[in-house]
Amino acid sequence: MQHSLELEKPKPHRVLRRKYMHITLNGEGVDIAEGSTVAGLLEHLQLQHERVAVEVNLDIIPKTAYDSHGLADGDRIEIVHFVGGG
Amino acid sequence: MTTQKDTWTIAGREFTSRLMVGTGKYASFQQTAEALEASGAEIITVAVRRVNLDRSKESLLDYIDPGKYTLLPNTAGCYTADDAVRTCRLAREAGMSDFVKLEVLGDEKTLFPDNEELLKAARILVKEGFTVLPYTSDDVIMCKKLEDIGCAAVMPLGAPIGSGLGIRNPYNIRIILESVRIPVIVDAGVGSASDAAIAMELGCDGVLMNTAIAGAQDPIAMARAMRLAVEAGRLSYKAGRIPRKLYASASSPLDGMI
Repeated sequence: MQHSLELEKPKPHRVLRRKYMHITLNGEGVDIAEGSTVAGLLEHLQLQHERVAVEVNLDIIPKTAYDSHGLADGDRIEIVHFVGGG
Repeated sequence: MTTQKDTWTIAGREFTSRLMVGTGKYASFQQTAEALEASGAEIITVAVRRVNLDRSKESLLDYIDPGKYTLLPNTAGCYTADDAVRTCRLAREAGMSDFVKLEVLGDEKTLFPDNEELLKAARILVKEGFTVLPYTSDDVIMCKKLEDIGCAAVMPLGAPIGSGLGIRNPYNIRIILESVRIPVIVDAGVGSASDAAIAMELGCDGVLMNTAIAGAQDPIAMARAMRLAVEAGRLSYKAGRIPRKLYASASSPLDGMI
């Protein structure tokens, strides 16, 4: 299932095209805006930083780097949190 | 008369309750929170899983105050050391704590641990500064190896996870208690309050359970029963039981019989 996270109509008086990147997010293919950061993605998903851990291409991104870590086309991202378990 | 506090420590952190409780399999988050409250547990286990992206916004931590408990993320569902280590690293990042319940499973049907992979994972995690509480078989050789590696406790199973069969081999547990100096916590297999009391009467430092409470007909009542059972078992152990004898020994005097 594909999700477009940001869509913008092209302006008629000049060519304006937002570029997208294709990433895998928790096992599903998703398109996100070029230039997205981890923080931007979490904000869009309405996830609190303190409650999650984020892994990009098998590397865990520390919380201090959420604002600066830019995502790239082809990235495989896992966002996890604590659930009930024994 | 002042009662001495019977606290215990894991990796230098002190706890009063010797009952550790899992947060899985409850009917609702609300029930989970109530059961934890009734149990008096201070240490609770959680699992690490993908955030559900098309989901209700509710999560376990909306109902449980993480500041009130020591969270013990588990590596449930991991069958290799690599997966377990990866899960622990993610857990540390999500929870900002280095306590982990290390499980590396060998078999889907029994959920018994894969001891070889368990030792491999434990070595890596201890080196990375984790406080490792490994779920292991009730095997003294494994427990000694886990202690030597630097695990903070050992958690031998009483019986398969969720089986409710109780302490299948109390003699193994006793041998383990004699052989390691780190806390011994029976984890897995407890079904009834008496099972929990038996574990404590053997001399265990604590008991960890999930299904026994969550799967009971009245989980809140069972959580309270388990709390009392762990306290009773511990008191009984410290009080020093009578020896077992083959023959009777009368409790009433013979003097003054009519």
